[in-house]
Amino acid sequence: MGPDVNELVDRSRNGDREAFGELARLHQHEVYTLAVRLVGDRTLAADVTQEALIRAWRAIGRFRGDSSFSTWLYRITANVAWTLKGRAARQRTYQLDAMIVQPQASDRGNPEVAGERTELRARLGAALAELARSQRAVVILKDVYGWSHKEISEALSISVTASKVRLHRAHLRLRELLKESS
Amino acid sequence: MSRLVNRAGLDRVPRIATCGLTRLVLHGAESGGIDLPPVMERHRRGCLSCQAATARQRRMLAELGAMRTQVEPAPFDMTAGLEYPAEVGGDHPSEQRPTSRRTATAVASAVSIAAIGVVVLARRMRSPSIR
Repeated sequence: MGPDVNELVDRSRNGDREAFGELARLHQHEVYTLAVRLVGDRTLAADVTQEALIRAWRAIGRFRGDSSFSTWLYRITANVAWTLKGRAARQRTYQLDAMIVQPQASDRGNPEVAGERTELRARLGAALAELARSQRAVVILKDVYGWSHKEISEALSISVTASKVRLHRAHLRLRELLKESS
Repeated sequence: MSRLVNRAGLDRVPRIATCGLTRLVLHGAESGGIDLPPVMERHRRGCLSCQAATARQRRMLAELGAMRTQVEPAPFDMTAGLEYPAEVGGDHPSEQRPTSRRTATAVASAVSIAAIGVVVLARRMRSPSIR
């Protein structure tokens, strides 16, 4: 049986480093995955992950538990990824394969369906990598992680309207890119 | 949205025109952001091309949603070597880096401006037109 997250959170809030270290170990892969998707670069994603974990430690005393710990940690990650945008923009070396996802175990039953889905995912991954970073962030947070526009606007420090507009433009662009690649 | 559609007279546009309009707002309707105006909903129900576009849109959103469960393992233990601040809420050295960088930039700018000032002043003092 795994450790109780709530208990680890409580202990972390009281300054228990070991408890926070355990929490960080439990969530590091999810945080890293979100970072890779947002910044499109694995090296930068590792930096984002570590910075997010440090910020989370600094802020854990203010965590009220209104949302789950993981949701709270993802918000910090999105915020860190966004604030490091200048660095990412200067590098401009998005790794296309970072966006391409692997087939799931559930696809293995039907090879034809699995093949179609794998192809669509590969095209979708490439299309996501082509999007402007501001648009990609909104698509990832809204369509992949299911955040509301309000949550996105808070994490990215933009207005709700800007979030909606970016999603709209991103969908139009994705549609074009998918059409081109088909 | 439907008020806008009515005001723009989109109720009366020919079917070929509403195809483009329908697709423009299709993703918003599919992702739950807006309600598809009745005129467009009626058009979609009767248009095979728009139904195909809807299916494609749904497939794309489903694939994006499926990405949520796919986790990419971190290449190394991200928690190893992390230097946590001594106290919860305490300052971390990474917070100090931008500040010291800003200070260095400000000092360098001030020195440059002073140097330019000295050169300009020296030239003016030497210039006959000033005398």
